[in-house]
Amino acid sequence: MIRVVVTGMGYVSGLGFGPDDHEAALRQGRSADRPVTRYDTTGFRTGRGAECDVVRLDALLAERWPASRLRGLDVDTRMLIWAAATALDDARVEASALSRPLPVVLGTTLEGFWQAEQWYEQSYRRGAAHARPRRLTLCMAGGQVSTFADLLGAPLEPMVISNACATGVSAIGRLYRRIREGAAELGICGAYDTLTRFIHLGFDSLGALTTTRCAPFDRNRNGFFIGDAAAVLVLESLESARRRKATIHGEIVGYGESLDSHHPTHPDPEGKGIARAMAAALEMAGVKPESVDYINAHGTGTPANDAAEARGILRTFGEEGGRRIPVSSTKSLVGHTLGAAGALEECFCLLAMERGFLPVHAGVTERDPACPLNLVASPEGRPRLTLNNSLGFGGANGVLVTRRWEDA
Amino acid sequence: MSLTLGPFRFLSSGGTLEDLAAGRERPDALQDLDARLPTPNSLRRAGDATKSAVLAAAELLRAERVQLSERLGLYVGQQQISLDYCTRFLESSYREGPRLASPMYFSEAAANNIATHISLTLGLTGLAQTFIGCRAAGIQAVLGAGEDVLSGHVDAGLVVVMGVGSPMTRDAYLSVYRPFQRRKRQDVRHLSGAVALMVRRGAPGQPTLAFAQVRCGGRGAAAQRVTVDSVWREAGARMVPGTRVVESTLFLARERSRAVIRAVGETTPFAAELGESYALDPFVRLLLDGVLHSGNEGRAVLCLGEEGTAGMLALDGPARIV
Repeated sequence: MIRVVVTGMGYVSGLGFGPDDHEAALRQGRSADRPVTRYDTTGFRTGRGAECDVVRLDALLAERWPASRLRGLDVDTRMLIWAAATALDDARVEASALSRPLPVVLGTTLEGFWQAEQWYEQSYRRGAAHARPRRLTLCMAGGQVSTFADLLGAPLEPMVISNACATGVSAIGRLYRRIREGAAELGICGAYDTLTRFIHLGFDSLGALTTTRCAPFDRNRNGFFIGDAAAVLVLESLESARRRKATIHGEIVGYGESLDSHHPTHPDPEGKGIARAMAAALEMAGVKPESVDYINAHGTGTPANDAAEARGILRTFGEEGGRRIPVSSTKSLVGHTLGAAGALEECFCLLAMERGFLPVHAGVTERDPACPLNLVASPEGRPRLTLNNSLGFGGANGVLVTRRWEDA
Repeated sequence: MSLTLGPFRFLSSGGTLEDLAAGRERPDALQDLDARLPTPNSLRRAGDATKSAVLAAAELLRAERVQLSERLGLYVGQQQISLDYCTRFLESSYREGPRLASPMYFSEAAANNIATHISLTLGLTGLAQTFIGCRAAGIQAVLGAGEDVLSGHVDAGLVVVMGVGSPMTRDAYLSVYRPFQRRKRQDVRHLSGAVALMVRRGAPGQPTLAFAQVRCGGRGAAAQRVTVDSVWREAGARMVPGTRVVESTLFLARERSRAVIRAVGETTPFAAELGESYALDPFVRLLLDGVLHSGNEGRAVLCLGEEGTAGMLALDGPARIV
């Protein structure tokens, strides 16, 4: 099988832009949770979230493209194109110089729903005839990809996946397998989603949003806050990376996925589905469970999800092993970034391995005996093999196994 | 060994393919959906399009006697997230207030809810992926299934492509393409439904997938011409000679999209007038061409999304329908 390495990353979230901003927050356990300013949250149970710094985003975009080319783009698209262009720069890939269209596997759960939501609200309140049409096609994921192709000046072979909260991992896993099988040599993958009134209210209505603080695996956990994020990675075959003399951030070695087939919104409480995905990913990686030295848990901070995931980890790693491996959920810091979560958390795993630290697990004051995991309290550590879990609505599970790059 | 596509199972709000071919849409076509569903109770909140997707999948698996296992992958293609339920949820939040918006509408609005309903109803435990974002989303689902079957990740792919038109989609498209005729809502007819098909290696009696690709080169007409040209040229080298190529474009943007396609080449004329079914439309046209024109020629569909994504799917013979 062909070895697949990561040679470029670009990511933005409520914690900031790129590796330096995120490393500092992940080491310190600093949360991006703050009051939402993008829309009116009057009447919501909670008005908190983790929006990205749009002013800084626009300033960064303005360094690349004239304002006329960015007009009308919503936050999703702006985050996506910044993350993708940054990842390509990081990998030193000039997309327009490639001999073939660039394979692109992206994920999103909402596309550009912010614009659609604005349009619909006007339409509802004032009648369809009075709603001001925005550029509708920009709202669709296909339109966002098209914008990216325009700005990049390069043809793309796009695929957009929407697999609930497992979306980001699914997108990376699909491109990883494609390169591993020799069907592509280089491509970009990742995911993006933003905080909108619709999604905020939706999770609020399900009672999934915290009214205090996000504390995954805590006995008194009561949910999460939602965050903006886009995370894009450049994956390529090791041969291609070596030929190009690219800097390698890490090697993806395994991917597994499964379906709980249990309930539309609740995970299987026994964690069997996520355990099957972890086992499949470890098998593909050809590593024993005890080799894993850090797990980035899905860890949403909801009672049902955390208990199911903890059961799944204990099933996979054994009662003893599952209590030993350092685990953290970075959602307590960056929020639940929905479809983008798995891709962003994969970037965190790569960053932790490259820079030699463990992302801190924040928020816990009283450990839940039903989740007997080794939650990371200090950033001290040098992980070599990480496991990145994602569990989504509909029981969609995805897991990535990634190895620190140590070229002998 | 090469990939085969089919058989196909098609259900729509307008009736069977024969009904559509004859231009006699039957408004009662999906009336007996609930009675035909394997477990209708779990789908009580779902819309007809979702139910038809579940039913098409169930009836296809039954007809083909497919054994359920972790080695069967599910791949769903739909142009947009579930806007019907998004609008119901938003409406209830405006009407009742934020705290009283129904969570049931929200969970049905998840983009992968069709895959969820299919997997829960049929008991699928392997993998499920939903492809969204453009008219070629169904072709992306076929590509995803094909990749996984060829790599041995799954033994077979069950692909389900959805077409669902919500009032929100209609009004939004009208506001863009007919800004001064927004009251002419009746001009936009929707065709809701689903097609289910199997993607396997060398299944006997099924046509071989000669070509499938989706490309995007940008938004403007010039960029779209380049995209269509690149897809069509590559398909041309792989399609069997004499393949009939039908086209699929957004109803409201048809003249513009056709001009882009005509600048590259001529497609096979298509007689039937169909309601807009978005990502389902390329598959309806591919299948209908087989109903309208018998013969063993290769069949292909070229679709151009108004946002600039072009996709093409080509078979080396007519599709088999069950």
